[in-house]
Amino acid sequence: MKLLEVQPALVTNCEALQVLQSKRSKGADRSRPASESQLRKALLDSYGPQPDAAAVNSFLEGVKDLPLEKLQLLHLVNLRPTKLVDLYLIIPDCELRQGRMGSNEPQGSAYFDLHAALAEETLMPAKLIHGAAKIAPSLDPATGTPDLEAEHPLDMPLWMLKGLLRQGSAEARQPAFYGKRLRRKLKAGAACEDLRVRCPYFYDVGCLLHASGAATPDLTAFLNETFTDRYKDMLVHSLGGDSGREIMRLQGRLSAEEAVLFEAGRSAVIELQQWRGSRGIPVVQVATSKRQRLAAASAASRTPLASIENVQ
Amino acid sequence: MAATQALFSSYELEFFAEDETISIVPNFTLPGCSDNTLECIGGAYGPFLPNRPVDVPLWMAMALHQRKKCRILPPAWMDIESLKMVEELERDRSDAFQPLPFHYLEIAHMLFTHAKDTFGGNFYKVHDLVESVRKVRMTKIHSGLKSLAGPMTVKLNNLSAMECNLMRGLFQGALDRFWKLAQLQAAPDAGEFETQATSSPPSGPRRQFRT
Repeated sequence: MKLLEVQPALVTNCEALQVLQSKRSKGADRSRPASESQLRKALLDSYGPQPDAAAVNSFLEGVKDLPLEKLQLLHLVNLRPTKLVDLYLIIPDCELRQGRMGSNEPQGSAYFDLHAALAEETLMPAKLIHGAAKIAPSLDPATGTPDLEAEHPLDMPLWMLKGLLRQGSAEARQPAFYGKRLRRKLKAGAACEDLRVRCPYFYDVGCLLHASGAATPDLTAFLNETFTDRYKDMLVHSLGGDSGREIMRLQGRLSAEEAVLFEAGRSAVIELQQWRGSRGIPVVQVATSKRQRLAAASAASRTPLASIENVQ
Repeated sequence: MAATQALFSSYELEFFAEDETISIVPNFTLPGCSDNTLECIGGAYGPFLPNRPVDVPLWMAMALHQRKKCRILPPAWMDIESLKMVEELERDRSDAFQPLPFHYLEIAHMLFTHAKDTFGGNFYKVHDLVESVRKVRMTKIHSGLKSLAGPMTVKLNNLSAMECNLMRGLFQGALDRFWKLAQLQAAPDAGEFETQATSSPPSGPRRQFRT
């Protein structure tokens, strides 16, 4: 068999089956290759004797406006996915595109991200503008009445606040970890503050608040400054050769987002040290200043070098 | 925010480094092959004539050395004088890195552990020099990272593979975070849908590393 032309067009399974059916109807021919009959059998099993070309056409019409490539459309028509998982396999970066297409999913790419989900669990102080009827015991167990009156202050998780803000039935109040006192402290010494205890998702909560339009205008500048200072004083040390105790002390004060970055740097350093120390030559400490270098050179010339190293 | 990029392991970088060419002096011939050359998928290596230097990939050099079929010649950049000069220049110029082979650390590590006789009597001197060059570059990288204060484009020329890999997680993650925070300042009235469209950071800064 010889290839005449490589992939001149994309053909769906339905069309292939139609071609095979029409060939067969011209008369059974013993000289047909075995693979052809196997193919026909497989296609018949999955599609049945009458492939529905009209359905395929109407599907293609329906998804005409979506930014899908030819090959992805072919896969969709052939595989006919019924589960969300299959869709993710066919279309890479599915959730990013979903966001771009303007669906109601907020933060499209962060939908499956654990940190994003946990950040939305942060309790935020807010105020119910119109109050709430009959669900007071579940919202705020401290009140005795079944209803909450208008302008009632309530601490609610961020995901709930976002929804209510969109509806216009709640108003956000400034949380303590963005308040004046902490801002002053952070301005004085950003690296000394323990953000894990204040708000583990310090920056993500700020971004989400900003996205919902509930943030004060100076919040973003404040977040930027804090992150810059803390990066310079704390995160850069993850690559340095600090002692284990120092590292632990630093890590205890980081917020969750900073901890991810710190861990990335730290694990790279540890892996590199393992690799370098893994085969034999112990690392000889090299002096760094000129005076020390001269002293080391004169000391080395006196002692036999063979005693320093253990050659494997 | 999506998780930080997966790192290469140092062993994987060593594997990539094994593609670099190095000079060897074989002590065998290949009478069965035409012109004493070995035809492999990667190319034709040879001709393998006794006491005639030939350029082969490092993986082949290591394999032949293990079987005691060749003597590896130290690469030009591992000469004591040139390493000393590189070290001096690294110490003097605190804002730029000296050009070194991309995989210099991996090549040096492999030669030091498996082919000590390559260097003869100079082994410890060369080892110390490579170590000190590595340390000076690390301090420079450290101070460079400290000076990062926003989603800026950082130019880092002549960085080696191992050094890139070390910084990659922290550096990229920090740049992404800076970028995310800067986006908030840039678009103060952005609603939810606008921030979604720009939620994936640009891939521009990542291209800086390989010169």
